[in-house]
Amino acid sequence: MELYRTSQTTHLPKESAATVRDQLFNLAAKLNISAVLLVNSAGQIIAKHITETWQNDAVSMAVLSANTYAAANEMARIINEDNNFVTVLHEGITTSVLTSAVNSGYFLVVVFPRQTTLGLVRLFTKKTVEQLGRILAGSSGYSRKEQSDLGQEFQNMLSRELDRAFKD
Amino acid sequence: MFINWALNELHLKIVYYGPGLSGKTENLNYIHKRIDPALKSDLMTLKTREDRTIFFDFIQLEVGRINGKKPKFNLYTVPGQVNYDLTRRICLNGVDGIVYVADSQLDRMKANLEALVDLEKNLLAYEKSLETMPWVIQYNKRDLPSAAPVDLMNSKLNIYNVPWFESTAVTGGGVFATLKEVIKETVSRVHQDLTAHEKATA
Repeated sequence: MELYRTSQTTHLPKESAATVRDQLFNLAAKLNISAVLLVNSAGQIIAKHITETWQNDAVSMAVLSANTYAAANEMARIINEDNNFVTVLHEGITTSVLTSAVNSGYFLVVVFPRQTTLGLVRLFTKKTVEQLGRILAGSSGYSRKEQSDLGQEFQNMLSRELDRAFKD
Repeated sequence: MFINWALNELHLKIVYYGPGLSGKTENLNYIHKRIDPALKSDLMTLKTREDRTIFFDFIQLEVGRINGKKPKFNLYTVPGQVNYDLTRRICLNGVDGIVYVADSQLDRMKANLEALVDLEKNLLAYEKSLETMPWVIQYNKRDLPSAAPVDLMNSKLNIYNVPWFESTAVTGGGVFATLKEVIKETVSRVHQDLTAHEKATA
């Protein structure tokens, strides 16, 4: 169960993006939660549903979640837990974070307030994870046009943009 | 790299790697200071009390849309101290391009070599290798009187003849040149990868 992948690049096709976002929206609506992120193991946000207060923090959250989750699974390996931890919970006084594996290399990060029952979060997150796994497994590839979009013209323009933006 | 075709976003992960105190964090500090606030996230640093990186530093940069696509660059540094090997390996997960920051001081050559071997070992855990992935070398601390000649540094460290840059990260010299090159190398490699895949599946 993986997003369409070349040897080094992962793609989220257009047709899958909307259904993935719908899943996150439905989960957030059911649980009245602040943020739900679908993140890959490199710490990149695949999809998100967040409230306005989270706009600036989503990137940091994804990066920290990815690396923390990877660290937790190194602990799993040390204690001879053959499979990675299915979920990792960070429990706070007012807000908690539940991280759940979707499939190899992807996981769901759910940020929820104290008022939302952990059991319900686990239950609905589990259902969403199963749905996401099916959606992503059924994703198709990209078109030839999309592949050529990163060719020499793009690279030349990128070079000019980098010179413009990154200067002493 | 992650490509979101719906939003037309390209996400690249660049990792700054090297021995302890070689200047990896200084690179990100300088980049964060100089970049337009509209083009960068906050700089995240996870440090010990002694100001040493304990997990990673992180900043996300972006440039304007190019042919409708928005490239975003996630820059990480790893902790350089020897006992953080596992943490360095975690940070390499999903890496697209590497900046190897070497300490130009002559008495740090052994540390530079050990860190390079360590990098290759950790890449192998992800079935990657310095031989095939995009990376550049930055010879930092060129301002110090004890800096070794660049020819010597290249002969010892630049085993795959990758692009290299002299730098003085504390003042910014060479920092952006290094960053721009690793991004260009990485995008070029991604394009080659996509082209090869297209041919293989045609």
